[in-house]
Amino acid sequence: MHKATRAFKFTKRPFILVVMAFVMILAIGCRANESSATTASELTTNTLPAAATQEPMIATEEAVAVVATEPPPTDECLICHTDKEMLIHTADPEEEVISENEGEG
Amino acid sequence: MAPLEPWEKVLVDSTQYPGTVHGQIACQECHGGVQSSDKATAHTGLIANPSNDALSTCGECHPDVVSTNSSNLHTNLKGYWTVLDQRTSPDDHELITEIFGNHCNNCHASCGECHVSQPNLVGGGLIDGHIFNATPSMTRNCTACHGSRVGNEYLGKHDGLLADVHFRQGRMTCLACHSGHEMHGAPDNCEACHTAPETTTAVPPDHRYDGVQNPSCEACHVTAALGKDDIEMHQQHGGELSCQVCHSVAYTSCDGCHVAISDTSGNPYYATEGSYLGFYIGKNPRKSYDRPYTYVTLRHVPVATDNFAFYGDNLLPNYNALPTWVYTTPHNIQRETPQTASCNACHGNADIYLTADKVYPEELEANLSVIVETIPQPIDSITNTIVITDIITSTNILTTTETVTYTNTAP
Repeated sequence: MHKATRAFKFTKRPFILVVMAFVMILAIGCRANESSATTASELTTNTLPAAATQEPMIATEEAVAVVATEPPPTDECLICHTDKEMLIHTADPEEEVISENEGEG
Repeated sequence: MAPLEPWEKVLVDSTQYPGTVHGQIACQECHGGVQSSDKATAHTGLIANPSNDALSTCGECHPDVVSTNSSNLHTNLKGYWTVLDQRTSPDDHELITEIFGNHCNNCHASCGECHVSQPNLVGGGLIDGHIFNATPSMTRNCTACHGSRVGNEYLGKHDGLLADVHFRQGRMTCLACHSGHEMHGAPDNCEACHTAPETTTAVPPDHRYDGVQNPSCEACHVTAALGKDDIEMHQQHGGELSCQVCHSVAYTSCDGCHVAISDTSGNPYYATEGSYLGFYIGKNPRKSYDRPYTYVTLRHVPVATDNFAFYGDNLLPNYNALPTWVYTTPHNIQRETPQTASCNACHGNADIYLTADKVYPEELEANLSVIVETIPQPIDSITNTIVITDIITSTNILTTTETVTYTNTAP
């Protein structure tokens, strides 16, 4: 029994760290405003020895998240030129061209 | 080939094109224009055919190809200028340049007209949703322009005449013989065969039949060309006759192409006096190291003394400088033809030779170098030694007497 208790104590700390890391990830992913970020930062700061290094990671991840959600620049050309109906609708009136050529070219 | 609808000409493939290399380039990079949802605004400063300035557009990524563009006959149309320069006077150069711009320049082909769109000559328009095809389409690019002669011959569109065997049986497209290297005006790699001291760079051609013969039948059919196979006709005539003399069939010739500007539309137009099928063997007007044949197939081109009468009188003062029956390589090759039926299919058969009686009187002088004065006599029998004396008079222009002694094998 004593040995089992000591074994449990030996594995308890890493387990807590894993759980806290998981919580941190969830908090960052679900954050919608600064208060959440602050909460996550506080958690990170209070619970992990390497709190100082965690903040830059969060900032980087913020930047990555911001960039990932920005839409690509719109190419007005392709909006029209990939739309058959729009091309038909905006086409210039077709002029009948009567060729005056005679014979093989 | 049915013409494209207006929307088809400019419809971009939304699924595949963006993923291509060229799809990564913003439209405006090549086409100009303005980013706007309004069509008129968007098309301000639009460049519909950016590859007309290949150096600034395609050349940014394809400098190796564009660097030889000036030698590309599709770009510079030098073949036309070569013959025009010989028939016209330098004094009329400015007017001839105007005529050329009105009536001949349509044959100019830009990069885009081979690799992304149909030629403007047939109405233009994107072929494959703006996807660039490294290999042009035989029917929508090559024969769109080269249609009335090469295309019709090669694809067997003349009634009663088979398609070229290279297409019919070999399923070979134009690119099988006419490499991109050739099409881009790049000099052939002479050094591959000719090592020092003959190492040299081929001079850009001034005509499609100028310079190294490429492609050539001999490149693939080596033993036939050297007369080293078991075919008697190859043994007898290898090198003396172009391959087309025996292996081509009737092809298109044209008469009298007159050009003018329409009174009603103001557009340039042409009118040819006629086109017809025929087969004519004549003397080689381009005999050279690269084309050593004595006899070749000849095609009539529609040059007439009054081609440019709309623009002025006597604009072809040196009309007789070149023959009007020209060296040709019909793209309707067959293994078995009327000529290969027997030796006497040609020997003694005046019908298939360009004799003086087949040439328009006003063109006789121009064609003296290619008219066949002496028809090869029929082959009589094996081991016979035949002495032949021919006297042929043709329309008071020339008289020849020839004595030939040779020993023939039986047909």
